[in-house]
Amino acid sequence: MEVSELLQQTHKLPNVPDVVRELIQQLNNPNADYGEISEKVSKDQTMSLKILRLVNSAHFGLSRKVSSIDEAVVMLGMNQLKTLVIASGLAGSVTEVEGMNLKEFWSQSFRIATIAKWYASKTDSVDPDVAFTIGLIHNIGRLLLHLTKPKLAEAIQQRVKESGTSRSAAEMERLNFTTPEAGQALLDMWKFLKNWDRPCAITRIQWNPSRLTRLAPSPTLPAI
Amino acid sequence: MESEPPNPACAITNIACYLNACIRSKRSLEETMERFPVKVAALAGLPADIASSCEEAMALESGLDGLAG
Repeated sequence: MEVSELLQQTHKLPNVPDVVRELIQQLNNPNADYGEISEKVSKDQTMSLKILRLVNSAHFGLSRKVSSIDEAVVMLGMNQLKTLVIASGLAGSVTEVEGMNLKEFWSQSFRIATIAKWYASKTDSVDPDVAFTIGLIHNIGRLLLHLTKPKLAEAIQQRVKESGTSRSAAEMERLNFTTPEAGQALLDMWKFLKNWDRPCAITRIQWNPSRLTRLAPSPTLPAI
Repeated sequence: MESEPPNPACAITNIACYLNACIRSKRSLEETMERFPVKVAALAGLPADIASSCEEAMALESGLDGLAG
């Protein structure tokens, strides 16, 4: 099988709002017009409502209720709003996936993204917003496989569970490619990494488990 | 491709995945710190003693779960 077989099923692919694509593409652009982007977010009622509900939750601890996206920008700052829009757009891009607990999937991705952003803030070498976004999308290949080939995805999951084989080995065995590679192909198709330096290095190192093992030899990690 | 220089953003995601996996598998803080991928942290330009801040990183709440589902 080839990755393109998954990508050809366009009606099954995640439906990422244009404004989210635009935001991700603009992450590294110092001249990005975020005012225009927040205007577009305001016009997307579903997304605005989700974001405002979240912003008004106890987690953000704001002193008063926020009732518009413009107000959210003032109270939280554009950087925080960017994070929320990207997370909201990606998490809302798929509503149901056979054989996958979506809530759990995104909860894990949110946590990874949040931790990545925190570590990025401790170094000058990585933009925290970029770290957050990579954390969010690093596992999107697995979502893609579940969306387009649910039976195969389930069979791979079973194989990993029953035989203790690594996920990448099981994926190679059944698909002849890994879900990280599929994820990279999807991001390439969306042109998400177009403006970033060395996109191959970004995805390969993070997503190629054999490479990761060499980088981090000590931990024997459960499947992420 | 294997010889390409590692990207720091990637190394950071790797560390975040490591901590998430430790949380999921209920690995003790002691073991999490002991097995912390210090070489990866160095690639990301993080300070040498960054493993000691595992607890703080693992306690972070995304606050975003309301966006899922």
